[in-house]
Amino acid sequence: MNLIHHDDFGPEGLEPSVAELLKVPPVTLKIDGIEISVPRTILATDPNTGRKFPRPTTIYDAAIEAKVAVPVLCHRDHMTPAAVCRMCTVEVGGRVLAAACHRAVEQGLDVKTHHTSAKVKKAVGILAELLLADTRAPRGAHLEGGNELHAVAKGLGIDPAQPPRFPLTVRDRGRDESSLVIAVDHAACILCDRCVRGCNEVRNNQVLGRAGKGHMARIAFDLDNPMGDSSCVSCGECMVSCPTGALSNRAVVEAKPWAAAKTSPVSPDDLLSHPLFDGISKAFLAWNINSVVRRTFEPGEIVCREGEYGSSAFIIEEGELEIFLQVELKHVAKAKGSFRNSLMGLVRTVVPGLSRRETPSEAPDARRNTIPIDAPVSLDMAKPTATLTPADLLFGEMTCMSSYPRSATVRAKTRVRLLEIQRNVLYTIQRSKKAKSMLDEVYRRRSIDSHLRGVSMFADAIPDPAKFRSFVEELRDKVRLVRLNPGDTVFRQGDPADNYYLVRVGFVKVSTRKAGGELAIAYIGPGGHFGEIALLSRMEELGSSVPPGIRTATVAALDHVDLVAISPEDFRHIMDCYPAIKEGVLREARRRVEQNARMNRGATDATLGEFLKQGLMDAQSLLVLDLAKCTRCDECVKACADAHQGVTRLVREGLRFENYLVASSCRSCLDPHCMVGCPVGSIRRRSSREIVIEDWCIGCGKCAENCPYGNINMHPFPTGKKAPDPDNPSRQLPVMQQKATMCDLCASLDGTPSCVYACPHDAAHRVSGGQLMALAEKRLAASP
Amino acid sequence: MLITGEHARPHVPWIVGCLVAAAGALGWFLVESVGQSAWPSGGSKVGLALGVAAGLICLFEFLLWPRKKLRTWRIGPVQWWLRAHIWLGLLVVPLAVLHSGFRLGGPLSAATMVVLVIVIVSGVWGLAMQQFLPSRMLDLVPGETIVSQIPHLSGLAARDGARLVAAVCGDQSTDDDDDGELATHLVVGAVRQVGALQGRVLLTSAAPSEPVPESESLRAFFEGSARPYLLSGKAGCPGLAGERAARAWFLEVRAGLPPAAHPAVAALEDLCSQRRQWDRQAWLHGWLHAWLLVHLPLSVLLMALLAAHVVWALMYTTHPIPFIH
Repeated sequence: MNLIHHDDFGPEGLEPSVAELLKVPPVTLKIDGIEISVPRTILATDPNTGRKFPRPTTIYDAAIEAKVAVPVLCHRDHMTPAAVCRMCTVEVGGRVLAAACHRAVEQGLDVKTHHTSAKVKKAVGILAELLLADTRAPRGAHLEGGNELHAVAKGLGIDPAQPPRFPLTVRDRGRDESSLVIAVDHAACILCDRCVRGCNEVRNNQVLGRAGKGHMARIAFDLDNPMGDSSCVSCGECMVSCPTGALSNRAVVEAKPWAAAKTSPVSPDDLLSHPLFDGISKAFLAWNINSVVRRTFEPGEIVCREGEYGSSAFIIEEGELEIFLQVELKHVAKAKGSFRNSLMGLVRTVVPGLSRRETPSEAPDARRNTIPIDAPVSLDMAKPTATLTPADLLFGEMTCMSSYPRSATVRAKTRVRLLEIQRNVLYTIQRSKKAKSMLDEVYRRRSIDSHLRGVSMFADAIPDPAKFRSFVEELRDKVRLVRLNPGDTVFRQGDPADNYYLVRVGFVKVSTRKAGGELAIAYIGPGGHFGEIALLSRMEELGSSVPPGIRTATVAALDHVDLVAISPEDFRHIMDCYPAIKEGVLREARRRVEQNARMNRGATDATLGEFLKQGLMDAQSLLVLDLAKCTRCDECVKACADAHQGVTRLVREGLRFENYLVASSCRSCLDPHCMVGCPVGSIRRRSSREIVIEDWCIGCGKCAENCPYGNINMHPFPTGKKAPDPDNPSRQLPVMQQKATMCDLCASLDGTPSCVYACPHDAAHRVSGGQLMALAEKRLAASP
Repeated sequence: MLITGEHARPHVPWIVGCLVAAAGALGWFLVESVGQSAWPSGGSKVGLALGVAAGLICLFEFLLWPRKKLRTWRIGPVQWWLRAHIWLGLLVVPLAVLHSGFRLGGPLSAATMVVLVIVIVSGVWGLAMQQFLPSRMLDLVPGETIVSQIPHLSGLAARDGARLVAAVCGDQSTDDDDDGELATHLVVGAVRQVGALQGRVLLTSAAPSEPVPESESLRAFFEGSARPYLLSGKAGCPGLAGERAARAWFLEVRAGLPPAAHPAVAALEDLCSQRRQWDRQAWLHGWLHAWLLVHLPLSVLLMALLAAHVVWALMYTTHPIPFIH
């Protein structure tokens, strides 16, 4: 049963009432004679925030679990059930038929679908015929997205090409071609509301709704304005949600992610035959036809390189690949001595920047014997190759999903054929419950495995490769991956101790309660760990200053966080069996206890609180201006404009941190919020850390909306096309395409940021969050 | 560019280099002058060499201007150029003085020397300003903005104030933003701009849900004093330019209004305080950059005079030039 992933939440991630709901015993029902038990409540995901919320489990959800096919038109896994088309009608023993997508499961329900109930089959057939009679087949370009109504009708044994049994009642509700991007054929619309929910729920644009009554009912933009005059941002979500092609693409820009590479596009029909693409909108695949390409590699050719960022994953169709490790170190390393050098003596883990490479001799985990990779096969350092085959399904998805660099180089061993898919397609695939659970499972397994092998604390304590391998394999099956959204609490001060946590991705804030409110005392990033104090508190070595088994601080997620949770029993087992690990953990715990005590004696750290509040810990490349040096000459801004065709990508305004102005310019975040939700995958990382917006940006503004720091702006760029002026049709006006612009660290020049290069006063610097904190601390130490 | 304290380190090689060069030039000059009845002139071996060096340095100094315009050229970071500009510029003074042989010479030479001195002094003045004014601005103007945006932001503040007053006193006119201009192009995509909205949202909380009776005096105060001040600063209403005087004035305004209007008065006071900071910022910014008004034009003039001086010296000098003859 994978309807509920309790691990998607932190231990405190759920409201108590929701947690209670999930504890309710499952219900048992029959669907077409198949008995199945399902929970009463399912956790749905808010597409905007990623937060989970509970909703009743429906018969449709249960039918998926029972592998009984129920036809749907208006329902999609990622949307709120609306039950407007009634194609999923089933018999539940009552007087009337029920919509499976909307009707909640009940104990003992005996459900009959059109497979087993003649009544249902007849009703569904009539519904399909009525819908066919009420709509006109889409015309021209509208056909490209396919027609789910026709497919469903065919599945029910109705030939859509035949004249309808019912009289054609439809009047031409007209077409709306006022938008330069999307054409609307109201006559082909079945009013399933998928576009409305796509616009309002999935993209949160609140543009689409309904207008009119009876036969003239139709979808409407804003207050029934023509689409081109409405506040539509042309993100295309309505178009890819449409099951009949009533909304179709009139492309102004075309995505060509791999224009220069040896690629061949893959037809939507071809993709839909692959299990991972099952249930994906054909219109979406047609629109993003260049976002999935088939690539062929000859033996010895490199597919992806370790340490590079990427925005694509690879599905293996044919052949074998070998995984090769060029650098023996994990890409994310803890900053050495950051604790000791900290002026304020805080418990603090700083990640200095992903691009940093250390030599093996200085690396903290140089003695590690196994290597974490972004693929399903673990590697032995003595023989750093492994093989991937089509049975492994895909690789490279962790980079897409976590935005971290690739952790291994993959090379073709034989002639291989791969499907390379862009990040936007990977996200859309996850809208399908089936594909999501498949990908989630792969992600969880690999990330746990990968992380455990990269924890230097374990690797250093167990130098024998064979023992370390068995340790990891034993632990792997016992730990679980906890995924948190920003703001989620892991545990609160005073709570009883539950788990010990290792941070895999993201940052958590450690804070304590003080009389004046909450005081941030530390932040912990990738590679860090926490939760040991309460679990060790009964040990004599830790002293009596800590209340036994009680959390001494509150820990909350600052961004999207992946934690590896180790249960108290397993933690104790590790402590008992591996004295070297115990010694390391105890040493860290003692230091933290001492520092907490010092903090509680009155020391305050407003700087750290401000640092965390501004999200600076997540930044890899902040543009900071030392305001004691800066003469406000604006040379940085002018240089930026000169480097980018006259449009500056930085604004010399922003938040202050100590004496520094954190200018409004891309921070190259470790967890880039902006890259989530781009409908065409035009915002991405190529092979290095800078985020770029490619030419095929459609200007929907989603990235600008998602960036919490206001560092992405929209600018109009000429398309070379002309269109009639709506106010004066005899006049032709040039069409300008809104596009998002952001700092690319001057990757289009030579990779040296022009803002810094052009600063005459040594005031502009590019630093990571950790480096900025160190600068601020140095300055505070120097000031009286 | 800061050259003091912890920031001095990158300047040390330049300072040492320039001191050594200046000492070398002086030594050579003194050696050449031994046994002479007068100091070596600009046409002497040492004088000419130092003059050529000084001229070339002046040319390099002048090249900082085009260098700063060619911002995307990768010919060394601008800060490196500026560091060289500062210290080589100062080196020109001893070189030029030694070149002159402690004489002003004819009108052209004298004018060149005078302009050089003014250029150097203005540069040193600018450098001195840069040592402390940025820090002062940091301390005195916490609400600092981009100085070129002050008129625009002032307009926005005045508009916000007008809306607030309309909410308190009752609306008398609709201030529509539509400028009625003809469209020049069609736009595809989201027109919305996303950026920091800090400070622009807070005002709405100060506005009452319905007009406050007997609050007309607020409109009169706003139209007569606050709006002109928000738009034009001290020139618009000198009475609000001083912090203490403004506080007293706002107390007086508040006393004449019902309590329901007080949050709006506080918001207006904040707007005026913000405007006061911008005025201070503009004043400091002026001091920080005003020296360029002297330095830049006179640098151009210096280059012209220098060129004339070179031509004059080479073509019309009556003294023999050792390397030519």
